[in-house]
Amino acid sequence: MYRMRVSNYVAYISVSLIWLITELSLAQYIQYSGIIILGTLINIISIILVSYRPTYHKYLFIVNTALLTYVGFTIPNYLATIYSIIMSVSIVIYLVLIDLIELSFLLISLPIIYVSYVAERLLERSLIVNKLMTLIGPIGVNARLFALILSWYLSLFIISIIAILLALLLTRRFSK
Amino acid sequence: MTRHNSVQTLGHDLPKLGDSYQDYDAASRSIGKRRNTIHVIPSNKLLALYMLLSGITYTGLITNNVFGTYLGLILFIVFTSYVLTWYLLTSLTLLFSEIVFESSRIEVTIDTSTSLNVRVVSRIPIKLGISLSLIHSPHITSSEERVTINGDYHTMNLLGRWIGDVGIIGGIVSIEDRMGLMRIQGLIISDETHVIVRPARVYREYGRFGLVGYGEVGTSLEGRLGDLKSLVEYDYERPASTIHWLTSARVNDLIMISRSEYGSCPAVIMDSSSKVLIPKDGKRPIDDFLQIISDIAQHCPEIKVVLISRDHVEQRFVAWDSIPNLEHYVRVRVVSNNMDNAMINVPKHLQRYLGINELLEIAYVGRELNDEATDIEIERAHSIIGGTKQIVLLRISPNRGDVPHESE
Repeated sequence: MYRMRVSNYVAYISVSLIWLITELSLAQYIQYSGIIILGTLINIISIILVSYRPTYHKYLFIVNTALLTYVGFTIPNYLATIYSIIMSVSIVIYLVLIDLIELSFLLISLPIIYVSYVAERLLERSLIVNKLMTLIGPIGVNARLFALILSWYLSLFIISIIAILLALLLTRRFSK
Repeated sequence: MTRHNSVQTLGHDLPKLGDSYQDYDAASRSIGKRRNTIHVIPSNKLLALYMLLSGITYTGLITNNVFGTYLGLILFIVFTSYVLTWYLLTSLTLLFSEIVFESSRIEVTIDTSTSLNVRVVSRIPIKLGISLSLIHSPHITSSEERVTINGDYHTMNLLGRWIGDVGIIGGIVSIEDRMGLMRIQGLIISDETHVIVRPARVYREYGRFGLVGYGEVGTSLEGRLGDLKSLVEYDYERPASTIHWLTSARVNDLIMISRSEYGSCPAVIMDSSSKVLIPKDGKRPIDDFLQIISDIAQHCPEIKVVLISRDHVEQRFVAWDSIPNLEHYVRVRVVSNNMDNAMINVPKHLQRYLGINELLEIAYVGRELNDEATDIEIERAHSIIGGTKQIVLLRISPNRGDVPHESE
Protein backbone atom coordinates (compact mmCIF):
# COMPACT_ATOMS: atom_id res chain seq x y z
CA MET A 1 0.00 0.00 0.00
CA TYR A 2 1.02 3.59 -0.57
CA ARG A 3 2.99 5.06 2.30
CA MET A 4 3.30 8.73 3.03
CA ARG A 5 6.54 9.02 4.93
CA VAL A 6 8.30 12.25 5.81
CA SER A 7 10.83 12.75 8.58
CA ASN A 8 9.43 12.91 12.10
CA TYR A 9 10.81 16.45 12.44
CA VAL A 10 8.91 17.71 9.37
CA ALA A 11 5.74 15.94 10.59
CA TYR A 12 5.94 17.56 14.00
CA ILE A 13 6.78 21.04 12.69
CA SER A 14 3.87 20.91 10.20
CA VAL A 15 1.39 20.07 12.92
CA SER A 16 2.85 22.52 15.45
CA LEU A 17 2.51 25.32 12.88
CA ILE A 18 -1.20 24.48 12.50
CA TRP A 19 -1.51 24.66 16.29
CA LEU A 20 0.41 27.93 16.49
CA ILE A 21 -1.87 29.62 13.98
CA THR A 22 -4.93 28.23 15.81
CA GLU A 23 -3.67 29.46 19.18
CA LEU A 24 -2.86 32.92 17.86
CA SER A 25 -6.27 33.12 16.18
CA LEU A 26 -8.02 32.05 19.38
CA ALA A 27 -6.17 34.51 21.60
CA GLN A 28 -8.17 37.45 20.23
CA TYR A 29 -11.57 35.81 20.89
CA ILE A 30 -11.19 34.74 24.47
CA GLN A 31 -11.29 37.12 27.34
CA TYR A 32 -9.28 34.96 29.67
CA SER A 33 -6.53 33.95 27.29
CA GLY A 34 -3.91 32.98 29.91
CA ILE A 35 -4.09 29.28 29.08
CA ILE A 36 -3.87 30.08 25.35
CA ILE A 37 -0.70 32.13 25.89
CA LEU A 38 0.73 29.32 28.03
CA GLY A 39 -0.15 26.86 25.26
CA THR A 40 1.52 29.07 22.65
CA LEU A 41 4.68 29.34 24.78
CA ILE A 42 4.84 25.58 25.33
CA ASN A 43 4.29 25.07 21.61
CA ILE A 44 7.18 27.39 20.71
CA ILE A 45 9.46 25.76 23.31
CA SER A 46 8.49 22.36 21.86
CA ILE A 47 9.42 23.52 18.35
CA ILE A 48 12.85 24.59 19.64
CA LEU A 49 13.26 21.33 21.59
CA VAL A 50 12.29 19.13 18.65
CA SER A 51 14.76 21.02 16.47
CA TYR A 52 17.54 19.87 18.79
CA ARG A 53 16.15 16.44 19.61
CA PRO A 54 13.76 15.22 16.89
CA THR A 55 13.47 11.86 18.69
CA TYR A 56 11.29 13.49 21.39
CA HIS A 57 8.59 14.41 18.86
CA LYS A 58 6.07 11.86 20.15
CA TYR A 59 6.30 13.02 23.78
CA LEU A 60 6.09 16.69 22.78
CA PHE A 61 3.10 15.87 20.59
CA ILE A 62 1.32 14.17 23.51
CA VAL A 63 2.05 17.10 25.88
CA ASN A 64 0.83 19.70 23.39
CA THR A 65 -2.25 17.66 22.42
CA ALA A 66 -3.19 17.25 26.08
CA LEU A 67 -2.78 20.99 26.67
CA LEU A 68 -4.76 21.92 23.54
CA THR A 69 -7.52 19.49 24.54
CA TYR A 70 -7.70 21.22 27.92
CA VAL A 71 -7.85 24.58 26.10
CA GLY A 72 -10.72 23.18 24.01
CA PHE A 73 -12.74 22.55 27.15
CA THR A 74 -12.38 26.24 28.14
CA ILE A 75 -13.34 27.91 24.85
CA PRO A 76 -16.91 29.08 24.16
CA ASN A 77 -19.30 26.78 22.30
CA TYR A 78 -19.46 28.90 19.14
CA LEU A 79 -15.74 28.19 18.52
CA ALA A 80 -15.90 24.57 19.63
CA THR A 81 -16.90 23.03 16.30
CA ILE A 82 -14.09 24.54 14.22
CA TYR A 83 -11.56 23.99 17.04
CA SER A 84 -12.47 20.31 17.42
CA ILE A 85 -12.19 19.83 13.64
CA ILE A 86 -8.73 21.53 13.58
CA MET A 87 -7.59 19.35 16.50
CA SER A 88 -8.86 16.12 14.93
CA VAL A 89 -7.37 16.93 11.53
CA SER A 90 -3.98 17.88 13.05
CA ILE A 91 -3.85 14.62 15.02
CA VAL A 92 -4.73 12.55 11.94
CA ILE A 93 -2.24 14.46 9.73
CA TYR A 94 0.53 13.89 12.29
CA LEU A 95 -0.22 10.15 12.50
CA VAL A 96 -0.28 9.90 8.69
CA LEU A 97 2.99 11.83 8.34
CA ILE A 98 4.85 9.70 10.90
CA ASP A 99 3.44 6.61 9.13
CA LEU A 100 1.37 5.26 12.01
CA ILE A 101 -1.73 5.49 9.86
CA GLU A 102 -1.59 4.33 6.24
CA LEU A 103 -2.99 7.01 3.98
CA SER A 104 -4.41 4.50 1.51
CA PHE A 105 -6.47 2.74 4.18
CA LEU A 106 -7.60 6.11 5.52
CA LEU A 107 -8.78 7.19 2.07
CA ILE A 108 -10.55 3.87 1.52
CA SER A 109 -12.28 4.32 4.91
CA LEU A 110 -13.97 7.56 3.72
CA PRO A 111 -16.90 5.68 2.11
CA ILE A 112 -17.46 3.90 5.45
CA ILE A 113 -17.61 7.30 7.15
CA TYR A 114 -20.08 8.51 4.54
CA VAL A 115 -22.31 5.44 4.94
CA SER A 116 -22.16 5.91 8.73
CA TYR A 117 -23.16 9.53 8.26
CA VAL A 118 -26.21 8.51 6.22
CA ALA A 119 -27.12 5.90 8.83
CA GLU A 120 -26.60 8.46 11.59
CA ARG A 121 -28.97 10.94 9.91
CA LEU A 122 -31.62 8.25 9.67
CA LEU A 123 -31.11 7.12 13.25
CA GLU A 124 -31.18 10.66 14.63
CA ARG A 125 -34.66 11.07 13.21
CA SER A 126 -35.79 7.67 14.46
CA LEU A 127 -38.44 7.28 17.09
CA ILE A 128 -36.19 5.47 19.60
CA VAL A 129 -33.55 8.20 19.69
CA ASN A 130 -36.20 10.92 20.02
CA LYS A 131 -37.87 9.01 22.82
CA LEU A 132 -34.51 8.65 24.60
CA MET A 133 -33.86 12.38 24.15
CA THR A 134 -37.06 13.19 26.04
CA LEU A 135 -36.02 10.82 28.80
CA ILE A 136 -32.47 12.22 29.02
CA GLY A 137 -33.58 15.88 29.06
CA PRO A 138 -34.75 16.04 32.70
CA ILE A 139 -31.51 14.41 33.96
CA GLY A 140 -29.53 17.49 32.97
CA VAL A 141 -27.46 15.96 30.15
CA ASN A 142 -27.48 17.86 26.86
CA ALA A 143 -30.08 15.87 24.94
CA ARG A 144 -28.84 17.01 21.51
CA LEU A 145 -25.25 15.89 22.21
CA PHE A 146 -26.52 12.65 23.67
CA ALA A 147 -28.59 11.95 20.56
CA LEU A 148 -25.61 12.77 18.35
CA ILE A 149 -23.30 10.36 20.21
CA LEU A 150 -25.92 7.64 20.38
CA SER A 151 -26.82 7.79 16.69
CA TRP A 152 -23.15 7.83 15.58
CA TYR A 153 -22.30 4.93 17.90
CA LEU A 154 -25.27 2.96 16.65
CA SER A 155 -24.53 3.61 12.98
CA LEU A 156 -20.86 2.62 13.35
CA PHE A 157 -21.86 -0.39 15.42
CA ILE A 158 -24.28 -1.59 12.75
CA ILE A 159 -21.71 -1.10 9.96
CA SER A 160 -18.99 -2.85 12.00
CA ILE A 161 -21.25 -5.81 12.68
CA ILE A 162 -22.11 -6.10 8.99
CA ALA A 163 -18.40 -5.88 8.05
CA ILE A 164 -17.30 -8.45 10.65
CA LEU A 165 -20.10 -10.84 9.68
CA LEU A 166 -19.09 -10.48 6.05
CA ALA A 167 -15.46 -11.28 6.90
CA LEU A 168 -16.50 -14.26 9.06
CA LEU A 169 -18.72 -15.57 6.29
CA LEU A 170 -15.86 -15.35 3.83
CA THR A 171 -13.46 -16.94 6.34
CA ARG A 172 -15.73 -19.94 6.76
CA ARG A 173 -16.34 -20.23 3.06
CA PHE A 174 -12.67 -20.25 2.18
CA SER A 175 -11.41 -22.30 5.13
CA LYS A 176 -13.53 -25.30 4.10
CA MET B 1 9.18 -10.90 15.33
CA THR B 2 9.85 -14.30 16.67
CA ARG B 3 9.26 -17.62 15.12
CA HIS B 4 6.37 -19.71 16.40
CA ASN B 5 8.09 -21.55 19.16
CA SER B 6 4.99 -22.75 20.89
CA VAL B 7 5.18 -26.49 20.84
CA GLN B 8 1.83 -28.14 21.32
CA THR B 9 0.78 -31.70 21.65
CA LEU B 10 -2.05 -32.79 19.45
CA GLY B 11 -5.43 -33.01 21.11
CA HIS B 12 -7.21 -36.15 22.20
CA ASP B 13 -10.05 -35.43 19.82
CA LEU B 14 -7.94 -36.09 16.77
CA PRO B 15 -8.79 -39.18 14.79
CA LYS B 16 -6.44 -42.12 15.10
CA LEU B 17 -5.21 -43.74 11.99
CA GLY B 18 -4.27 -46.97 13.64
CA ASP B 19 -4.75 -49.82 11.21
CA SER B 20 -5.51 -47.49 8.33
CA TYR B 21 -1.88 -46.44 8.16
CA GLN B 22 -1.36 -48.14 4.86
CA ASP B 23 -4.14 -46.02 3.37
CA TYR B 24 -2.41 -42.95 4.67
CA ASP B 25 0.89 -43.98 3.15
CA ALA B 26 -0.72 -43.97 -0.29
CA ALA B 27 -2.78 -40.84 0.24
CA SER B 28 -0.26 -38.72 2.09
CA ARG B 29 1.46 -37.60 -1.06
CA SER B 30 -1.68 -36.07 -2.47
CA ILE B 31 -2.53 -33.46 0.16
CA GLY B 32 -2.35 -30.06 -1.50
CA LYS B 33 -5.85 -28.87 -0.70
CA ARG B 34 -5.57 -25.10 -0.65
CA ARG B 35 -7.46 -23.21 2.02
CA ASN B 36 -6.93 -20.22 4.25
CA THR B 37 -7.99 -19.26 7.73
CA ILE B 38 -7.48 -16.06 9.66
CA HIS B 39 -7.27 -15.34 13.36
CA VAL B 40 -7.59 -11.81 14.72
CA ILE B 41 -5.64 -10.82 17.83
CA PRO B 42 -6.62 -7.35 19.15
CA SER B 43 -4.05 -5.68 21.38
CA ASN B 44 -4.51 -3.77 24.64
CA LYS B 45 -3.61 -0.58 22.74
CA LEU B 46 -6.94 -0.82 20.91
CA LEU B 47 -8.81 -0.98 24.22
CA ALA B 48 -6.76 1.90 25.65
CA LEU B 49 -7.40 4.05 22.57
CA TYR B 50 -11.15 3.56 22.73
CA MET B 51 -11.20 4.18 26.47
CA LEU B 52 -9.36 7.47 25.91
CA LEU B 53 -11.69 8.59 23.10
CA SER B 54 -14.78 7.56 25.04
CA GLY B 55 -13.39 9.36 28.11
CA ILE B 56 -13.05 12.64 26.15
CA THR B 57 -16.54 12.21 24.62
CA TYR B 58 -18.31 11.46 27.89
CA THR B 59 -16.45 14.21 29.77
CA GLY B 60 -17.74 16.60 27.09
CA LEU B 61 -21.26 15.20 27.43
CA ILE B 62 -21.34 15.34 31.23
CA THR B 63 -19.85 18.87 31.40
CA ASN B 64 -22.15 19.96 28.53
CA ASN B 65 -19.05 20.87 26.52
CA VAL B 66 -19.43 20.78 22.75
CA PHE B 67 -15.67 20.63 22.04
CA GLY B 68 -15.03 17.50 24.15
CA THR B 69 -18.01 15.69 22.64
CA TYR B 70 -17.10 16.64 19.09
CA LEU B 71 -13.37 15.88 19.40
CA GLY B 72 -13.98 12.49 21.01
CA LEU B 73 -16.68 11.65 18.48
CA ILE B 74 -14.71 12.75 15.38
CA LEU B 75 -11.64 10.76 16.46
CA PHE B 76 -13.85 7.79 17.33
CA ILE B 77 -15.42 7.85 13.86
CA VAL B 78 -12.05 8.25 12.08
CA PHE B 79 -10.29 5.49 14.05
CA THR B 80 -13.20 3.07 13.91
CA SER B 81 -13.61 3.39 10.15
CA TYR B 82 -9.81 3.17 9.68
CA VAL B 83 -9.46 0.04 11.82
CA LEU B 84 -12.50 -1.51 10.15
CA THR B 85 -11.11 -0.80 6.68
CA TRP B 86 -7.71 -2.19 7.62
CA TYR B 87 -9.29 -5.29 9.13
CA LEU B 88 -11.55 -5.94 6.15
CA LEU B 89 -8.95 -5.37 3.44
CA THR B 90 -6.23 -7.30 5.24
CA SER B 91 -8.54 -10.21 6.03
CA LEU B 92 -9.77 -10.43 2.45
CA THR B 93 -6.22 -10.17 1.09
CA LEU B 94 -5.06 -13.01 3.36
CA LEU B 95 -8.13 -15.12 2.64
CA PHE B 96 -7.51 -14.93 -1.08
CA SER B 97 -3.75 -15.46 -0.74
CA GLU B 98 -1.74 -18.41 -1.84
CA ILE B 99 1.83 -19.47 -1.09
CA VAL B 100 3.68 -20.41 -4.23
CA PHE B 101 6.88 -22.45 -4.06
CA GLU B 102 9.19 -22.18 -7.03
CA SER B 103 10.04 -25.88 -6.86
CA SER B 104 7.90 -28.76 -5.69
CA ARG B 105 10.85 -30.81 -4.47
CA ILE B 106 14.30 -29.87 -3.23
CA GLU B 107 17.08 -31.91 -1.74
CA VAL B 108 19.51 -31.10 1.02
CA THR B 109 22.16 -33.08 2.84
CA ILE B 110 21.90 -33.24 6.60
CA ASP B 111 23.57 -30.31 8.42
CA THR B 112 23.77 -28.26 5.25
CA SER B 113 21.59 -25.44 3.94
CA THR B 114 19.56 -24.97 0.84
CA SER B 115 17.27 -22.22 -0.36
CA LEU B 116 13.67 -22.22 -1.45
CA ASN B 117 12.05 -19.40 -3.39
CA VAL B 118 8.67 -18.53 -1.98
CA ARG B 119 6.07 -16.03 -3.08
CA VAL B 120 2.75 -15.00 -1.55
CA VAL B 121 0.16 -13.93 -4.09
CA SER B 122 -3.35 -12.70 -3.52
CA ARG B 123 -6.32 -12.21 -5.79
CA ILE B 124 -6.86 -8.84 -4.06
CA PRO B 125 -4.32 -6.61 -5.85
CA ILE B 126 -2.80 -5.01 -2.76
CA LYS B 127 0.84 -5.09 -1.74
CA LEU B 128 1.09 -5.78 1.97
CA GLY B 129 4.20 -6.43 4.05
CA ILE B 130 3.76 -9.58 6.13
CA SER B 131 5.89 -11.99 8.11
CA LEU B 132 5.86 -15.53 6.86
CA SER B 133 6.94 -18.70 8.59
CA LEU B 134 6.68 -22.00 6.79
CA ILE B 135 4.85 -24.95 8.31
CA HIS B 136 6.92 -28.11 8.40
CA SER B 137 8.28 -30.65 10.81
CA PRO B 138 11.54 -29.89 12.68
CA HIS B 139 13.55 -31.91 10.15
CA ILE B 140 14.45 -28.57 8.62
CA THR B 141 14.75 -25.16 10.21
CA SER B 142 13.59 -21.99 8.59
CA SER B 143 13.23 -18.52 10.02
CA GLU B 144 10.34 -16.10 9.99
CA GLU B 145 10.86 -13.73 7.06
CA ARG B 146 9.38 -10.42 5.94
CA VAL B 147 7.75 -10.84 2.53
CA THR B 148 5.39 -8.75 0.46
CA ILE B 149 2.06 -10.10 -0.71
CA ASN B 150 1.95 -9.83 -4.52
CA GLY B 151 5.68 -9.06 -4.45
CA ASP B 152 8.59 -10.93 -5.97
CA TYR B 153 9.93 -14.33 -5.00
CA HIS B 154 11.64 -14.36 -1.61
CA THR B 155 14.51 -16.72 -0.91
CA MET B 156 14.17 -18.66 2.33
CA ASN B 157 17.07 -20.60 3.77
CA LEU B 158 16.41 -24.09 5.00
CA LEU B 159 18.82 -26.08 7.15
CA GLY B 160 18.56 -29.86 7.15
CA ARG B 161 18.58 -31.07 10.76
CA TRP B 162 17.19 -34.57 10.60
CA ILE B 163 17.17 -37.10 7.79
CA GLY B 164 13.78 -37.59 6.20
CA ASP B 165 11.17 -36.59 3.70
CA VAL B 166 9.64 -33.32 4.87
CA GLY B 167 6.47 -31.78 3.54
CA ILE B 168 6.07 -28.00 3.69
CA ILE B 169 2.29 -27.77 3.79
CA GLY B 170 1.98 -23.98 3.77
CA GLY B 171 2.75 -21.07 6.00
CA ILE B 172 1.60 -18.89 8.85
CA VAL B 173 1.41 -15.26 7.85
CA SER B 174 1.17 -12.44 10.33
CA ILE B 175 0.41 -8.78 9.83
CA GLU B 176 0.04 -5.97 12.33
CA ASP B 177 -1.24 -2.47 11.73
CA ARG B 178 1.32 0.30 12.18
CA MET B 179 -0.13 1.51 15.47
CA GLY B 180 -0.07 -2.02 16.86
CA LEU B 181 -3.83 -2.02 17.51
CA MET B 182 -4.56 -5.36 15.91
CA ARG B 183 -2.74 -8.36 14.52
CA ILE B 184 -4.13 -10.79 11.99
CA GLN B 185 -2.63 -14.24 11.76
CA GLY B 186 -3.42 -16.32 8.73
CA LEU B 187 -2.96 -20.02 8.08
CA ILE B 188 -2.40 -20.64 4.41
CA ILE B 189 -2.44 -24.26 3.28
CA SER B 190 -0.90 -24.48 -0.15
CA ASP B 191 0.19 -27.07 -2.65
CA GLU B 192 2.79 -29.04 -0.77
CA THR B 193 6.47 -28.94 -1.53
CA HIS B 194 8.88 -31.62 -0.36
CA VAL B 195 12.32 -31.21 1.11
CA ILE B 196 14.35 -34.39 1.07
CA VAL B 197 17.00 -34.35 3.78
CA ARG B 198 19.57 -36.92 2.77
CA PRO B 199 22.31 -38.49 4.88
CA ALA B 200 25.86 -37.33 4.28
CA ARG B 201 27.80 -39.29 1.68
CA VAL B 202 30.69 -40.45 3.81
CA TYR B 203 32.94 -43.29 2.68
CA ARG B 204 33.66 -44.94 5.98
CA GLU B 205 35.29 -48.18 6.92
CA TYR B 206 32.64 -50.51 8.27
CA GLY B 207 35.03 -51.74 10.91
CA ARG B 208 33.97 -48.63 12.82
CA PHE B 209 30.76 -50.42 13.67
CA GLY B 210 32.46 -53.65 14.57
CA LEU B 211 31.64 -55.30 11.27
CA VAL B 212 34.94 -57.03 11.01
CA GLY B 213 35.24 -58.77 7.72
CA TYR B 214 32.92 -56.61 5.64
CA GLY B 215 35.14 -53.68 4.73
CA GLU B 216 38.15 -55.73 3.81
CA VAL B 217 37.01 -59.30 3.60
CA GLY B 218 33.71 -58.34 1.94
CA THR B 219 35.56 -57.13 -1.09
CA SER B 220 37.22 -60.44 -1.53
CA LEU B 221 33.83 -62.10 -1.26
CA GLU B 222 32.49 -60.16 -4.21
CA GLY B 223 33.59 -62.72 -6.74
CA ARG B 224 31.62 -65.40 -4.99
CA LEU B 225 28.64 -63.44 -3.85
CA GLY B 226 27.90 -60.83 -6.48
CA ASP B 227 26.90 -61.38 -10.10
CA LEU B 228 28.94 -59.61 -12.75
CA LYS B 229 26.68 -56.89 -14.14
CA SER B 230 28.92 -54.90 -16.50
CA LEU B 231 32.32 -53.37 -17.10
CA VAL B 232 32.46 -49.68 -16.32
CA GLU B 233 35.05 -46.94 -16.08
CA TYR B 234 37.02 -47.23 -12.87
CA ASP B 235 35.77 -45.20 -9.90
CA TYR B 236 38.87 -44.15 -7.95
CA GLU B 237 36.98 -44.44 -4.67
CA ARG B 238 36.36 -48.15 -5.19
CA PRO B 239 38.92 -50.77 -4.15
CA ALA B 240 41.67 -51.46 -6.72
CA SER B 241 40.73 -55.15 -6.60
CA THR B 242 37.65 -54.35 -8.70
CA ILE B 243 39.81 -53.37 -11.69
CA HIS B 244 39.60 -55.76 -14.59
CA TRP B 245 43.21 -55.63 -15.76
CA LEU B 246 42.76 -57.55 -18.99
CA THR B 247 40.09 -55.17 -20.33
CA SER B 248 41.97 -52.14 -18.96
CA ALA B 249 45.05 -53.14 -20.93
CA ARG B 250 42.97 -53.72 -24.05
CA VAL B 251 41.24 -50.28 -24.02
CA ASN B 252 44.19 -48.48 -22.45
CA ASP B 253 42.03 -47.13 -19.61
CA LEU B 254 41.16 -48.37 -16.14
CA ILE B 255 38.03 -50.48 -16.28
CA MET B 256 36.40 -52.12 -13.31
CA ILE B 257 33.86 -54.84 -12.82
CA SER B 258 30.47 -53.69 -11.66
CA ARG B 259 28.85 -56.40 -9.62
CA SER B 260 25.51 -56.98 -8.04
CA GLU B 261 26.67 -56.76 -4.46
CA TYR B 262 23.43 -57.70 -2.80
CA GLY B 263 24.64 -61.04 -1.73
CA SER B 264 27.60 -59.61 0.15
CA CYS B 265 25.70 -56.81 1.83
CA PRO B 266 24.72 -57.04 5.46
CA ALA B 267 21.09 -57.09 6.53
CA VAL B 268 20.00 -54.49 9.05
CA ILE B 269 17.68 -54.91 11.98
CA MET B 270 16.58 -51.46 13.02
CA ASP B 271 14.69 -50.36 16.09
CA SER B 272 11.65 -48.43 14.83
CA SER B 273 10.06 -47.67 18.18
CA SER B 274 9.16 -44.16 19.35
CA LYS B 275 12.43 -43.97 21.32
CA VAL B 276 14.56 -43.64 18.20
CA LEU B 277 12.51 -40.65 17.01
CA ILE B 278 12.74 -38.55 20.16
CA PRO B 279 15.30 -35.76 19.84
CA LYS B 280 17.93 -35.37 22.53
CA ASP B 281 19.96 -32.17 22.32
CA GLY B 282 18.50 -31.68 18.85
CA LYS B 283 19.59 -35.08 17.53
CA ARG B 284 17.63 -38.28 17.13
CA PRO B 285 19.02 -41.81 17.33
CA ILE B 286 17.33 -42.72 14.04
CA ASP B 287 19.53 -40.21 12.19
CA ASP B 288 22.63 -42.14 13.31
CA PHE B 289 20.97 -45.38 12.22
CA LEU B 290 20.06 -43.96 8.82
CA GLN B 291 23.59 -42.64 8.40
CA ILE B 292 24.94 -46.16 9.01
CA ILE B 293 22.49 -47.56 6.47
CA SER B 294 23.62 -44.82 4.09
CA ASP B 295 27.26 -45.80 4.61
CA ILE B 296 26.41 -49.39 3.80
CA ALA B 297 24.33 -48.28 0.81
CA GLN B 298 27.40 -46.62 -0.70
CA HIS B 299 28.55 -50.12 -1.59
CA CYS B 300 25.27 -51.98 -1.77
CA PRO B 301 22.56 -51.15 -4.26
CA GLU B 302 19.82 -52.46 -2.00
CA ILE B 303 19.82 -53.29 1.69
CA LYS B 304 17.43 -55.50 3.52
CA VAL B 305 16.18 -53.57 6.57
CA VAL B 306 13.98 -55.22 9.16
CA LEU B 307 12.06 -52.72 11.27
CA ILE B 308 11.26 -53.89 14.75
CA SER B 309 9.09 -52.49 17.48
CA ARG B 310 6.61 -53.98 19.93
CA ASP B 311 4.35 -56.43 18.07
CA HIS B 312 5.71 -55.26 14.76
CA VAL B 313 8.37 -56.79 12.53
CA GLU B 314 8.54 -55.65 8.93
CA GLN B 315 11.05 -56.20 6.19
CA ARG B 316 11.83 -53.45 3.68
CA PHE B 317 14.39 -53.09 0.93
CA VAL B 318 16.15 -49.77 0.99
CA ALA B 319 18.38 -48.13 -1.60
CA TRP B 320 20.45 -45.04 -0.84
CA ASP B 321 17.89 -42.80 -2.53
CA SER B 322 15.01 -44.12 -0.47
CA ILE B 323 16.57 -43.65 2.99
CA PRO B 324 14.55 -40.42 3.64
CA ASN B 325 11.39 -42.36 2.70
CA LEU B 326 12.26 -45.01 5.28
CA GLU B 327 12.42 -42.31 7.98
CA HIS B 328 9.10 -40.89 6.80
CA TYR B 329 7.55 -44.33 6.93
CA VAL B 330 8.82 -45.06 10.45
CA ARG B 331 7.88 -41.59 11.77
CA VAL B 332 4.37 -41.51 10.36
CA ARG B 333 3.74 -45.03 11.58
CA VAL B 334 4.77 -44.16 15.15
CA VAL B 335 2.89 -40.83 15.12
CA SER B 336 -0.30 -42.32 13.69
CA ASN B 337 -0.31 -45.12 16.23
CA ASN B 338 -0.60 -42.58 19.03
CA MET B 339 -1.52 -39.04 18.06
CA ASP B 340 -1.52 -37.87 21.70
CA ASN B 341 2.20 -38.47 21.75
CA ALA B 342 2.88 -36.33 18.69
CA MET B 343 4.01 -32.72 18.75
CA ILE B 344 3.63 -29.96 16.25
CA ASN B 345 5.16 -26.50 15.88
CA VAL B 346 1.93 -24.66 15.06
CA PRO B 347 0.05 -22.39 17.51
CA LYS B 348 -2.78 -24.29 19.18
CA HIS B 349 -5.54 -21.98 17.94
CA LEU B 350 -4.58 -22.79 14.34
CA GLN B 351 -4.14 -26.55 14.78
CA ARG B 352 -7.85 -27.29 14.48
CA TYR B 353 -7.80 -26.04 10.91
CA LEU B 354 -5.27 -28.68 9.88
CA GLY B 355 -6.43 -31.95 8.42
CA ILE B 356 -5.20 -35.30 9.65
CA ASN B 357 -2.83 -35.80 6.71
CA GLU B 358 -1.30 -32.36 7.23
CA LEU B 359 -0.87 -33.01 10.94
CA LEU B 360 0.86 -36.32 10.25
CA GLU B 361 3.12 -34.65 7.72
CA ILE B 362 4.44 -32.08 10.20
CA ALA B 363 4.16 -33.96 13.50
CA TYR B 364 7.11 -35.39 15.33
CA VAL B 365 7.41 -37.69 18.32
CA GLY B 366 7.63 -35.87 21.62
CA ARG B 367 7.32 -38.51 24.30
CA GLU B 368 8.35 -42.09 24.57
CA LEU B 369 5.80 -44.86 24.15
CA ASN B 370 6.16 -48.29 25.61
CA ASP B 371 6.68 -49.78 22.16
CA GLU B 372 10.23 -51.10 22.26
CA ALA B 373 10.87 -54.44 20.67
CA THR B 374 11.24 -57.45 22.95
CA ASP B 375 13.39 -60.51 22.41
CA ILE B 376 10.45 -62.11 20.62
CA GLU B 377 10.50 -59.47 17.87
CA ILE B 378 14.29 -59.70 17.59
CA GLU B 379 14.05 -63.46 17.17
CA ARG B 380 11.41 -63.00 14.50
CA ALA B 381 13.64 -60.48 12.72
CA HIS B 382 16.53 -62.93 12.76
CA SER B 383 14.33 -65.63 11.33
CA ILE B 384 13.19 -63.29 8.52
CA ILE B 385 16.78 -62.51 7.61
CA GLY B 386 17.58 -66.20 7.53
CA GLY B 387 21.01 -67.19 6.30
CA THR B 388 22.55 -63.77 5.78
CA LYS B 389 25.99 -63.85 7.31
CA GLN B 390 26.28 -60.18 8.29
CA ILE B 391 23.62 -58.52 10.40
CA VAL B 392 23.79 -55.00 11.71
CA LEU B 393 21.58 -54.50 14.72
CA LEU B 394 20.62 -50.85 15.10
CA ARG B 395 18.91 -50.73 18.41
CA ILE B 396 18.80 -48.63 21.55
CA SER B 397 19.90 -50.84 24.37
CA PRO B 398 18.93 -49.80 27.89
CA ASN B 399 22.27 -51.02 29.19
CA ARG B 400 24.63 -49.96 26.46
CA GLY B 401 23.22 -46.63 25.31
CA ASP B 402 22.60 -45.49 21.76
CA VAL B 403 25.13 -47.66 19.98
CA PRO B 404 24.82 -49.96 17.06
CA HIS B 405 25.69 -53.56 17.74
CA GLU B 406 26.97 -56.22 15.50
CA SER B 407 25.98 -59.80 15.49
CA GLU B 408 26.69 -62.68 13.21
